Amino acid sequence: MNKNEFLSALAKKLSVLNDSEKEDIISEYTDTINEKVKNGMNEKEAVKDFGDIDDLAKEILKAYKINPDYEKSSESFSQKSEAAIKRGAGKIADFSRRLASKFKNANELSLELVFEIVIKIFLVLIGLSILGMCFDCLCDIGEGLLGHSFTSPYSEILVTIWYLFIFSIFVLLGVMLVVTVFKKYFEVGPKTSNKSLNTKKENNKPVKKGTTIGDVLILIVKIFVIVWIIIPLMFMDLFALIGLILAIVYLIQGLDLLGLILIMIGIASVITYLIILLFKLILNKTKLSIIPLIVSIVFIIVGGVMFTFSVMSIDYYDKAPKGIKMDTLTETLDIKENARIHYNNFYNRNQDIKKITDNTFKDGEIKLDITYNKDCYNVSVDEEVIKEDCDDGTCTLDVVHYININAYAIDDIKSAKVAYKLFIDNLKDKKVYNYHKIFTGNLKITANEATLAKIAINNY
Amino acid sequence: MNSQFKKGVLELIVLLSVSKRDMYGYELILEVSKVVDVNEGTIYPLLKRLTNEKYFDTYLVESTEGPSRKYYKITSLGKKRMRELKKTWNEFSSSVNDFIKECGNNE
Repeated sequence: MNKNEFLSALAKKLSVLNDSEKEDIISEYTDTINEKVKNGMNEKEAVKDFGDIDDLAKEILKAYKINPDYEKSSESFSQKSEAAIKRGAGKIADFSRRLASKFKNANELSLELVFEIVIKIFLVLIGLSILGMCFDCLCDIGEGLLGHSFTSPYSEILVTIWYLFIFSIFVLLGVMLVVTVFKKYFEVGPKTSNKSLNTKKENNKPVKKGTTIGDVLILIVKIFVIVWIIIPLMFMDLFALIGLILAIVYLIQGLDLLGLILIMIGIASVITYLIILLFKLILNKTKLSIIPLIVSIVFIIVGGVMFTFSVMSIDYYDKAPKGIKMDTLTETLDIKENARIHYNNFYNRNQDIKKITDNTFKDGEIKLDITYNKDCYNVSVDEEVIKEDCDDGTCTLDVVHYININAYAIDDIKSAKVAYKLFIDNLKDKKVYNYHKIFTGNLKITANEATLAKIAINNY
Repeated sequence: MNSQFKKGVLELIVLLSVSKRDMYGYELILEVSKVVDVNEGTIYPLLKRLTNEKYFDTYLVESTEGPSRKYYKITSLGKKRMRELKKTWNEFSSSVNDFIKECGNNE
């Protein structure tokens, strides 16, 4: 074969390789042949020196099988995903093995060690429950203080924030406790790891039993951590994120919730940080910068201060909110006898009832004005004249004119929407009103002096 | 020469050669041929493998006489590998030599 025949035949046999690799190899062989020709050989001889072209191609391809990086380019998607899954499973098997060996390498395995660990776990659990009790106390104190100094819904928000805050601190301390107690079992100094390389085989047999027990213990601790700490933390993280999104939504609508947003960001970061910390602990990578934690705590504190100020700058008015659409129901009645007005208010007892003297009114003429919001409150007036029956002769009234004002609060989506919209709009102006007053009405009774004296008002 | 022996020790010889000075493909073939008779075709696959395993780095040098040449240069990882192989070879060959001497008495 001459040079070109050889090179093209070789290229064909190497066609399974990718183009750049193939070119690389062909150019090397081309250069070698050229070099040899320069030194006096002829092409045929130069090519012969390479031996059988099939064997040569086989040898070359063998070199690529050794290196997995080259195979990646020619693998199909299913092969790649299969390989990925195998790698993943391998990794899991790997780190449980690494963990066991790290544990083995860092400690002299013996029954005493096992006892030591068990006792430590027990003590840590006691420690955690004591911590838990302390923080339960703190939560209750906070709830008592905050819950009763503000009217709801503020008290509820503040109490929840306090609770989250305390809980985060509790979890942080608990995790630090667990880490400090058990860290030493996972630490491997440079000396011990070198030793393990050489002595691993020799130590295999006698240490086998100990490794298994240690392994199981570690697994139990890890499962405990995952179930009781990480999963609840993840839920809290989710809620913190939801809270954050809601806070941003309200911020966009104009409420001054920057402080609350900072708090939420801080809480979400702290929780995420804790989750990552625990994961790293499980994976034995104790490298974790403490800066994000400090930054998030700063966020929480700053946010808390801002939020408190923003809450305190809100004015509270104990009356019906501005901006609510009011209607008036007017009834003009004529009473001849004594009258009793029943204001049957089934929802709220704090209604305003005003008596107004207008001496331009004729005797017996009364006007009732009820101001209320149609969406939240329903009012109707009816009257009946009753002859009171008295057996014992003590009643002084013969005929009574009953005026019933039936009123009840409408408790449905429409009224809730009205209340909500008013709440948000007024909160933008940093004003909070007594929103119960939407669900009630004001009653004005106008009559002349003499007639007013004949009216008795019962309300219950 | 027995090809089994050759295969095992070829990597060591290639590493030793390149550690002396950076070489290009043909130059290396000549160097190795001084020590053992080798099939030139199999040098390149070996060089490829050693490069992929990061024992060698490669770089191109412009040549006035023709196309640019690819030079192989040993890395620190490669040097480490070379030392390991040298040690293994020395242990192996000395125990074989000792054994031969022992058996030589019986001839």
